[in-house]
Amino acid sequence: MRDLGMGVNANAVEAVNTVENANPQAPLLRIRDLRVAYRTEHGPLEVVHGVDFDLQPGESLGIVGESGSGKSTVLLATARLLPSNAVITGGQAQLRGQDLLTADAKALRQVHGPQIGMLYQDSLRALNPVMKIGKQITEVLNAHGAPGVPEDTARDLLRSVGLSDPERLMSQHPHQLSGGMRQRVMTAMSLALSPRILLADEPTTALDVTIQAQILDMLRHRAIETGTAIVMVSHDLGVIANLCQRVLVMYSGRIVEHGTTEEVFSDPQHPYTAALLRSVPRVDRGLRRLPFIEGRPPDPADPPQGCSFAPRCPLVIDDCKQGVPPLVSTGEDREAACLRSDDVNPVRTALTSADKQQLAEHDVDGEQLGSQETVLVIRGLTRHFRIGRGRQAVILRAVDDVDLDIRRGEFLGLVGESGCGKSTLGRMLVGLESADAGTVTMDGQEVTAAKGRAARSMRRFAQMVFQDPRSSLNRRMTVAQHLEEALEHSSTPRAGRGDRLRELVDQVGLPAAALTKLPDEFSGGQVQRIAIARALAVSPQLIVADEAVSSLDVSVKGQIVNLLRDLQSNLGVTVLFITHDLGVCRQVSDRIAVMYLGRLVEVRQTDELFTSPRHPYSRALLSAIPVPDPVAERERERIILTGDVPNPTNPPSGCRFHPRCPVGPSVYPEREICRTIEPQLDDEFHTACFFPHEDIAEDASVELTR
Amino acid sequence: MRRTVFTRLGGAFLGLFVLTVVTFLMVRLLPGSVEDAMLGTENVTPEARQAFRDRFGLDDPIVVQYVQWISNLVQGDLGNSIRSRQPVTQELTAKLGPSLTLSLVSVMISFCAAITLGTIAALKRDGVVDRLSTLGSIIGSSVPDFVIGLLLIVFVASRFDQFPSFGYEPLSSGLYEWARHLFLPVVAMSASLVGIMTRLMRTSILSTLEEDHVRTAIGKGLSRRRVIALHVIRPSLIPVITTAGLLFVAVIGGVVVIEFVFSIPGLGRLILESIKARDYPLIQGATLLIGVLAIIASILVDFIHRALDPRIR
Repeated sequence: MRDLGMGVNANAVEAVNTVENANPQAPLLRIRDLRVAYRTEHGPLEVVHGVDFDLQPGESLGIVGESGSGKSTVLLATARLLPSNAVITGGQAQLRGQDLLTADAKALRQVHGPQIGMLYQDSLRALNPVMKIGKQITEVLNAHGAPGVPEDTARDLLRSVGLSDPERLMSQHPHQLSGGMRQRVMTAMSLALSPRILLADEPTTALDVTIQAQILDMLRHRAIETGTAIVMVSHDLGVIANLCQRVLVMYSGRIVEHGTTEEVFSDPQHPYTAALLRSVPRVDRGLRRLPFIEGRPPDPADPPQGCSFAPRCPLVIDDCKQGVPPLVSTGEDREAACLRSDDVNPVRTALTSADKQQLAEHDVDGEQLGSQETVLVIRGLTRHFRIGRGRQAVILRAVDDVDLDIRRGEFLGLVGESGCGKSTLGRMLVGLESADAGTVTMDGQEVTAAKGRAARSMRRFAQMVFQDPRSSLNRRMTVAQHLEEALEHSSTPRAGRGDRLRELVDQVGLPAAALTKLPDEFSGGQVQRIAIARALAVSPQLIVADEAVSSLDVSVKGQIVNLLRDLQSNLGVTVLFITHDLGVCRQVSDRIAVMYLGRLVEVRQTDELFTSPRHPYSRALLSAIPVPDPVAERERERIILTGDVPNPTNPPSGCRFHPRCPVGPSVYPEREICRTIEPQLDDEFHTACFFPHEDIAEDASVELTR
Repeated sequence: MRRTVFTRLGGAFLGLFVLTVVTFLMVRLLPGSVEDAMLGTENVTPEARQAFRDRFGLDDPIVVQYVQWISNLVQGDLGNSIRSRQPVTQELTAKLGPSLTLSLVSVMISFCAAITLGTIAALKRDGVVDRLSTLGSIIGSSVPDFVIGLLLIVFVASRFDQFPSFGYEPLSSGLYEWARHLFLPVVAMSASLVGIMTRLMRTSILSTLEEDHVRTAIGKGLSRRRVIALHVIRPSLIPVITTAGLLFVAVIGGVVVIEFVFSIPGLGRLILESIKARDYPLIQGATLLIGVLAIIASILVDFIHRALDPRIR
């Protein structure tokens, strides 16, 4: 299986071997001055402005940057898989001496598969929906004349990426698999011919952290087995730190910094890298606010003079605006495109300590606000969905007997894997979903059974901010119209509404001129501000923010989270912050509730949870998050959960976590209790586990990761 | 899968039931009495009327009448045609062949033509085939069928004896005879069908080409032929096949005009003449028959759709 690709185009391989022999130092992939433009109504618009890099055999290289930086475009251009509206306008891409950019369709077909394998972000869209998994894999083998029986090889490949029942998978279609399984299938497919290079475009972005950890682990092992070099594009610095030896940082179509992952992450030489590192929510250091980068990336149609980061740069000097600073060598195997590259790290260190100071100040605020008064009491709250009809119907236990007290003015994080019921719980609190059982008491008034007028007054009590702000606003209504509509249901007298509108936009940090504009005229972060203003219009006690920052870029994410945090301290509003992003959650939440399959498993003060998590699931969740620090990434202990998130239609008996639990009955067979009795949150530590805070045996976790 | 088959068939029987109730009531709800409708108003003696009422139990409660009607129906008895005095079932089966043949052949040929044209048009966007097929689609779907039929008679049938302007020969009189009689009506019927389906296929292919999985397929190094056949055309076919099934149902009902233009002794002509003669038993029977065909067609489309698109299984 190792060298499936070799037999395919023996001549080409031989030709390339000659080149390799002639120059043993020649890189596997050499990109020089790569330029890509998109066709637009106003003519071609260059989005990648001359990118250079080399890739050595077996190496793993990360490309990091925010959306619009051109990182994916570079990847697709290298593989010659750009969409039809993009054109490569210049440069070279040589794969062991063969120029990819001038290669014809026939030559490319021999490159795709045996030389270059592709891995994409959205596995559901990237796999053919109407073709069986088995056929999608065997067709790669057949197309390149791989030896052996294709079906047997395909089964071996599926097994090699950790899929246990290849026989069944072969005859299934992509939509029948979970996201994690599909990503494994794609990996099996792209590594089928043991290609020289794997080009991976955000392959774990759509996955839960626990599944992401599995996939990264699997990718690393498979790449080593097949000797494949990896180019990994990601916006997640933690993922890059986890997997990559070297990293390229891209900003608005240019590489701004390059070096080994250790050096770039510990001693950044470009202010953008420094800002990016600073704005990443870190689980390994606590701050009550998220630092962010002021401003936003330049519009590619209207780039600034000189360095494109200059308008946002804290170190900017007049010379920066004179011309684009070239990428120059700043040390062995290090490059940066900044005139002040030596000053970056000292400033970063200074800024980080400023952050810490800010933290200290805000912590004082936090303590003043952290009243013990309970504003919302949830008891036995349950929501089951019927799926299907008649005898086929199954019950999906989205939220199952949840007890939770929310304190006035607190910032409560609610975390868990996708499908754990956290969004349903949030929707029930704002009245978008009805309860099957249990009660919600707001300020002493039970609202679960409220109807008519009482239900409407509950809406004034709690408001929701959604993940995708654009689709939660009407494109044809101005900001003022949105807010006025919301004010209809508030107690604001009609006469005072004009002032109230201005007050609202001011509270979310937008100018009064924003009122007359339509949602499409704003950027993603600004639209989320408008959605927040709308939620504030009725002066709610509680704001439920459901993944409200998940789709925003790192640099904008901080702005919105801080806004929520400010509203909490200035207006005394309580925030329930629902997220799968534990990093953000740690930095801003006062308390965190961890949810698993419809149940709360641990509800703790944030610092306590992160320093001494008690529930094995919380611990696994925390250890799965990659940290943007390559040294820490390599050394820290990790619990990688096996298996997918179980199906909420058929939750396991007893403790719902027991089949995946590293301290449960799968490792310690004598712990029958976990299988039979469902643990409840205890009064002292608020943890639902029979064996909390127990050391996870070294061999046990190894057993589980395999 | 078996379960869905049963639920589909259950739905079909429900549809069938509603259809029989509606056609049964159709005659009962007409202005005037049923015997007027069924026997006509001329030359009917009062005795004959009463005999008719007794025979069909028209004085019984309506539910009893319906049950009686259904049990006759199941035995293939739909009464006699007023015009020809022949049993309705016999009249209908005699005319079903030509209509069904004409509709099926038209839809199938249009489907194949549309798939080919639509694919080429989409792959060679703004090319000759694309421009011509777009123009042709607009003309084909905007000019009424009978106009095309008449033009074909004037310009083709009158010059080429191979393509007669009227009549129908069953397949049993030989493939050539069958085909040459069918040729012009099929062309006339297909003009609009090809137009509609070509445009749909073109749009469908263009949207599939934008899908990520096509990029994946190219990135696997597959041959262009394989990428297009299995990763582009196959998923694109799904909406077109669904539409073809729906069009078939519409065509069965709309075949009337073309049968009239080309003097084909089919169902459409029979219905037309029955309506003119107020031959209610026949209209009732024909309505029922077309309804049944429509139900069968929609079940078939549903199963084909399921076979092609695993996501809705």
